[in-house]
Amino acid sequence: MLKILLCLVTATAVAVALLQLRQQRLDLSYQNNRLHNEIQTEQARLWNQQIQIAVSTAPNAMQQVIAQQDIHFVAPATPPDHLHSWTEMPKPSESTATAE
Amino acid sequence: MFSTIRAGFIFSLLTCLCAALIGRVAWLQTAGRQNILARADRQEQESQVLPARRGTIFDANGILMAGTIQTSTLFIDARFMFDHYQSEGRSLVDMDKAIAGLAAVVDKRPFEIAKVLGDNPNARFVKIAENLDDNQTAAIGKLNIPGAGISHDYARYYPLGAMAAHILGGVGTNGIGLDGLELKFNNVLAGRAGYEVMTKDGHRRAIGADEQDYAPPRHGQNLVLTIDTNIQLIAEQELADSCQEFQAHRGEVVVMDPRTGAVLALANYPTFNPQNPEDSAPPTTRPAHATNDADDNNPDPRRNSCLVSPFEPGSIFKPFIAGPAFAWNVTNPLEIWPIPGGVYTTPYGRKVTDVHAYGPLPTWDVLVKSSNIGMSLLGERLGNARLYRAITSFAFGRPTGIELPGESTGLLNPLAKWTKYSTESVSQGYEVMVTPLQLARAMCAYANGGHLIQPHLIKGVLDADGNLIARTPTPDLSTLPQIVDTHTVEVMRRILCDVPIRGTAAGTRSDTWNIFGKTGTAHISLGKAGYSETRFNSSFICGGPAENPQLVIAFIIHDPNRNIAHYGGAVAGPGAMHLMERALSYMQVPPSPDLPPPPPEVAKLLWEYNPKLYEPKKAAAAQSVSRAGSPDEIAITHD
Repeated sequence: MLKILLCLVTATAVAVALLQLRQQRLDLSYQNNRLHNEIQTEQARLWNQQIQIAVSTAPNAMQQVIAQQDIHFVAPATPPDHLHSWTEMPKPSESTATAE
Repeated sequence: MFSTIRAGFIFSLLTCLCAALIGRVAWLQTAGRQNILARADRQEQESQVLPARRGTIFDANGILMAGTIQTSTLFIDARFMFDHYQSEGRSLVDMDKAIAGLAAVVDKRPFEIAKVLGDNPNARFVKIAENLDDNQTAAIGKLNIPGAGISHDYARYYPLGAMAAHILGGVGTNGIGLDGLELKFNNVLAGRAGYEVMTKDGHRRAIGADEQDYAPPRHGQNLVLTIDTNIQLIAEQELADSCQEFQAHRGEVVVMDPRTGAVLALANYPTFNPQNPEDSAPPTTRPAHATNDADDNNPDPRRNSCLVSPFEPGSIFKPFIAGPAFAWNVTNPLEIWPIPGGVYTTPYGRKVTDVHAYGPLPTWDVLVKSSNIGMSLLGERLGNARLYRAITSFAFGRPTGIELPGESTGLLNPLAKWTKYSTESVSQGYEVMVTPLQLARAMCAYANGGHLIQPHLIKGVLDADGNLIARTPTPDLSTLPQIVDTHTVEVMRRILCDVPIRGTAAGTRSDTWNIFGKTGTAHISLGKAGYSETRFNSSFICGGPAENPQLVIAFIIHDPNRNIAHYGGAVAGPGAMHLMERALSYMQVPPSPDLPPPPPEVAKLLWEYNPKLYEPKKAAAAQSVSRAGSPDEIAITHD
C-alpha cells in the first residue's frame, strides 16, 4: 500500500514539476515572443523616425526654413551676381532674346 | 480483511478513473473530435501574414525620397468577443462598457463601434480605427479587452511631397506601384510577405510558432538613384516659375551629367503628389490664351512627358544636323550661305522664311541666329540619306532605355517615307518628334567629346539591411559610340557659346560660366490642319561650363501665352540659364575663364559682330572667389 502511495505521490510530484517546467517554458516563450515584438516595434519606430527626419531635412523643407529664418549661405564658388546662393530664386530680369 | 477491502476500493476507484479517461479519450477521438479540434485551433492557433516592408528609394546623396512607415490598426474579432462574454457569463452591458472604453481611446462614438460589431457578429476582423499613435496603442493594450487587437501594416510615404513625383510614380492602396520607379521596380521594392501560425496559451498570449509554421518576410530592396534632390528642387522651381510666368500649357526639364549619363533631375509641369496619385485630376481650366483645337488641352499631371510625349523640336534640332555636316566635311563654320533676305523659295517652290531678313551668313551664324533658310540650304546639300544618318547617329527614333516605364521612341519616319518636303522640314526640326530626354542625351554628345551616352536613373541597389548588392558602373567614354569627332565637338561648343551672347538667347548669358546652348521655337502641329500660327513650343537646350561640361539641360515650355512671349530664347532661355547657374553654384563649379571672342577670320564674317559683347565680365567674380576661400570654408551668416 505504502509503495502505491509512494508511487502516486512521486508521480504527482514529478507531474507537478513537469507542469511547472512546461509553464515556465510557456512563460519564457511568451516573454521571448513579446521581446521579439518589441524589437520589431522599435524597428518600425526607427523607420518612422527616419521618415520624419527625411521630411524635416528634405531640400524643399530646408529651403523654406532658410527663407523663413533669413539665413544666408556664402558659397565657396561665387554664385552669379543676381544670386546670393543656389537656394534662392533669381529675380526676374529683362530678356533681350531675339527671334529665330 | 480491512486491508483487502481498502485495496479493492482503491483498485475499483482507479479502474473507474481509467475507464472514465478511456471513455473521454474515445469520445474525443470520435464524436467530439471535429468540434474539439476546431475549438482548439481557434483558441490556440492564430495564423497571420507577415507583410514585407517595401524598400526605400534614396537620392544620390542618401536623402530619402520614398519610404515605408508602419501603421497601427485597431481591429476586433467580433465572434471571439461575443463567445468570450457569453462563456464568461458576462452581460452585454459589460461588453458595451468595454466598447465605450475603446471608443474613448480612438476618439470614436461608442454606438458606431457597437453598430459595426452588431452588423458583423461572426466576423473575425472588424477594422475599427487606423493610423493609431503609440499612446493609443498602449492604452488599448492596457484595456485588455478580449477580441480587441492591434494589427500592423505598412504604408508608403513620400517625404519630399510632390517633388520628383514623375520619377517615383506612387503606390496604390494595394501596395503595388502605379507608375514611375515604383511600377518599374515593383518586384525589387516589394519584397515577399512571410507568414506564421502562432500558438497561444490559455490567456491568449502568443507563445511562439513552430519552425515549420514560420516564414519570415523578405523585406524589399532599396534603390539609390542618380537624382540629386537639390538639383531636382531647383529644376522644378525654375520650370514652374517659367510655366506660370508665360501661362504655358505644360513644361518639362531634364538635367543630365554628360560624363556618366546620370539623370540628375527630371521634372514635369504640372505635377502631382505621389502620396495621393489617384486623386490627381487633370486641371479643368485652361489659360485664357489657349484654344480648344488640341486633343491634349488638359494635360494629365501624372504623365511623365519627359519620356512619353514626343514633340516637334524646331530649331533646337539644328546642331544635330550641323554637327555631322561638319564632321563629314559637308560644310565648315566659315562657309558663307547665300541667304536671300527673309524668304527663300526651294527648287520645288516651297517658301522657307526667317524671322529676320539676314543676308549671307556663315554656318557659324546660321546656328547662332538660327536661320531656317541657312539650314534648309545645308539640308539640301546633305540630302535625305545623310540627314537621316545624322539624326539616327544621335539615336533619335529609338528609346534611350532609361529605367522608367512607358518611354516613347519619338517619331522618325523610315527614309523610304521621306519626301522632297522632308529635306527642309527635318533641317528645321519638323517632321520628326523627340522627347526631352532624347534631346538631353543628344546634347550630352557635344558635352562629353562626342559620345552617345546611356541615360540612367539607378545608381545602385541595396538589400534590406543596407548592403550594396548592385551598382551601375561608371561608363568608360572611350568604349561608347563616337557620334562626332572631338574637333567638331569643340567647334560646335564654341559656336553655341555665342547663342546666349549674340544669338537667339541674347540677354540670358551667365556672367560666371560659359554656357553653350540652342534655342527652339516650333509651331505646334494641328494634325491635318497644318501648323498653328499662334501656338508654339519654346525650348532651350544647353550645357556648361563650356570648357569642362558637367551639366546638360533640356528645358521645354509648351504653348506659352504669345501675348507675353513665345520665342525659345525669351520663354525657356532664362529659366534654363537660371537653373544652370543655380545648379553649377550648388555643385561649387569654379567660374569659367573669360570666353575669347571669335578669331578675326571668323569675326569678319559674322552678322552685325560687336566685339564689346566679349569683354571680360568676371573680374568682380574672381575677386569674390578669392574672398570666399576654399570649398571647406562654407560660412552661414545671419543678417
